[in-house]
Amino acid sequence: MLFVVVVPLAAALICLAVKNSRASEYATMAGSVAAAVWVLRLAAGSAGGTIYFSKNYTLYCDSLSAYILLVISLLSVAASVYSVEYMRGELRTGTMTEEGLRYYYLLLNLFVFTMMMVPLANNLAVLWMAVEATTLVSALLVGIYRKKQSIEAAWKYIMLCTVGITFALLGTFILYYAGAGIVGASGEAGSLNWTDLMHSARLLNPATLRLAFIFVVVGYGTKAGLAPIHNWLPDAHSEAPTPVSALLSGILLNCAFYGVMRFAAIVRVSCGPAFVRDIMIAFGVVSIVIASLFMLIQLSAKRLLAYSSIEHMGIISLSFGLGGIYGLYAALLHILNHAIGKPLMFFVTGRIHSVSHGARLDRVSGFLKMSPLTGVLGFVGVAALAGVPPFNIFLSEFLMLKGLAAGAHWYIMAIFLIASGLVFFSLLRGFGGMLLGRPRLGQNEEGQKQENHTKPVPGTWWPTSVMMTLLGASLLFLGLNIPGGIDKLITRSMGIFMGGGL
Amino acid sequence: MPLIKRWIEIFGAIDFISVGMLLSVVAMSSSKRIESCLKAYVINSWLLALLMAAFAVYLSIPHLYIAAFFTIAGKCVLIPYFLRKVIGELKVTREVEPYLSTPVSLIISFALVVLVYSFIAGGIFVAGAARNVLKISVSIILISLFTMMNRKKAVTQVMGLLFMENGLFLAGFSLTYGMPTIIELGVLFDMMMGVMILGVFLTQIKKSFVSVDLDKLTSLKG
Repeated sequence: MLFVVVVPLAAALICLAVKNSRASEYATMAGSVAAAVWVLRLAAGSAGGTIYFSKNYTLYCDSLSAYILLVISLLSVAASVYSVEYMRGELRTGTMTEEGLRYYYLLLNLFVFTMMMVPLANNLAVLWMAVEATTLVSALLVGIYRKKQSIEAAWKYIMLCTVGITFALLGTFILYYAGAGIVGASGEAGSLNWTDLMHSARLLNPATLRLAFIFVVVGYGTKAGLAPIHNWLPDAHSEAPTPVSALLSGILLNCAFYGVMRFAAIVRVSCGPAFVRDIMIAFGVVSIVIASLFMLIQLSAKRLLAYSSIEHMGIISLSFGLGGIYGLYAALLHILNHAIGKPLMFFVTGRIHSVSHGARLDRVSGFLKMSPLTGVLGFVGVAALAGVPPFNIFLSEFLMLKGLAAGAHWYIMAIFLIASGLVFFSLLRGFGGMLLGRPRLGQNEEGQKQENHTKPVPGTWWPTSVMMTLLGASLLFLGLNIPGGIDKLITRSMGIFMGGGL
Repeated sequence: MPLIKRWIEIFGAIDFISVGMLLSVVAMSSSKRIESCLKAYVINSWLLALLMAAFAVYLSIPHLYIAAFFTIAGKCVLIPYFLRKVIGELKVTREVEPYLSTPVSLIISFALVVLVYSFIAGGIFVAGAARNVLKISVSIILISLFTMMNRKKAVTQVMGLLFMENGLFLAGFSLTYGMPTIIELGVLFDMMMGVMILGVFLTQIKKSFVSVDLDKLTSLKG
């Protein structure tokens, strides 16, 4: 199990040691692939019901951890492959220096390392440290261009998330207080291990745990991008280099939400399911509504996608709050679905961005003709994100609707349907405009139209195209059929939130 | 040792020190100069370390001495040294430029304390030596949060964040009499890294915006 987290760390060390950005590219890719292979083995074991422990119970891997870890490692492979194409483009245009590129790969590996620590942490304080470490590393990645906007975004990001996460630490302290006198499964009193606390969840004081959970939801919720504490998210996502935006949106948000889930499992047993349900549903509905309204007025493609992430985190939170078989299955499946769909859209946007120098929605059109493959993938991604059948996100949203119907939450259902109508409209208007029509690549400062382009987009790298096609294909594949292994992982993870403690 | 233990009990040293921390936060939230904010932070951190030591003596928990030592090393020496250097490099003007005047901020700080005292009492019950400390620490956290919102300068936001973390450590202490040492160290390390990175961004903000007023950071909206 340790091997998984050691690999990205080793790759980071290699990037630190070598003086050549090419070597860092290959080290990053090799590292992410090696980690992914190892994670697949781990996930296969977890799907079969094995639970891995480190010697002193600080690290832990059950089906839920393995599932999140799987999403992280697969996405990190995609991001490292895409980084090669995108960052070489940035190097060519002079936006990045050779030195900056090595720094970028170093941080990228560290970022993946910190994110992998999150699902593996059993000790809740270690979980907190890992989440805080992801903020610190990714803030440096957000500000890597050292432009005015990117520094502003990074500042906002690190400030809001650090303040937010301070509350999560307070919540962790309060939970520790609640469990201080209780002997857990590992035999020592006052342990902060999730397994111990889960084991003795019935004995914890519900009033104290309620207080702890509120602090934790506010804290990790800030980082998970739940409205109304989402303000950092659109800025950070739009100013970061595109591969980093994909990682932020696809998996970082889920890592933070994973923290909420682990706490919710304990609190649910102690305080009863209604308390957790109401909080998570409220955050989910507010996020969906706010995101769908803000998406209507966005002019930049990356900001549009960032708000779409808030909407999808809202959907995950809402489904998770609903609970039950439909809700939990939908929440966990949606984590994977969103983590495939959103990065694909960021990659497509990045390709548009690298030829048009700024992805303003109203200044680019006809990209489908310039690069047919990217254009088609863009349409697949938009359809999937908007929840159109037969793509995978439709499946998880449909399951959530079933859950809403089963719980007779008709108002929430109506709100969700209206909001997803708005989201569909904004996405189609934004990306439809960019992809269809006469090929045009933006205007320069004076507002003059640049010459028309019909030649293929320069600087694409075939492995990146293959990777993006695979992502697009899996959007469709997962919409038609959920592989047995993933189904097993999800079903096993649902058990954590359904029974009465371990 | 038993003598010191008795003294701590007779003089209510634990309450006394934590009230001192509260006062230094109020001083920070109403002071006009960045240097005095930094001084208030150093005092606050020394009081925090003293409190840890007092707990260590009073409850005979030796590992708290280690925590106190690292608090002194990190919060009383390293972070202030680093911040002084950054402030010197930035050549920030000395005024902190709050949005609200000093009397108004004092009244708001006072109101926050009253609010915490009236609400926390019902939610969570702490017995023993630290019975008052949780309320004080939550007040410290809220006052620092208010100060962060009230200041224009980016540097003073960092100060607010640091005070918040001190309040958090205090809360952790009053609830748990210290987490396991390794966890204390990990949290402290994370926070120090945070301050370092914020310092890096401060110099970058200075370079590209020519000032460290947060009013100027307005290019990203919606």
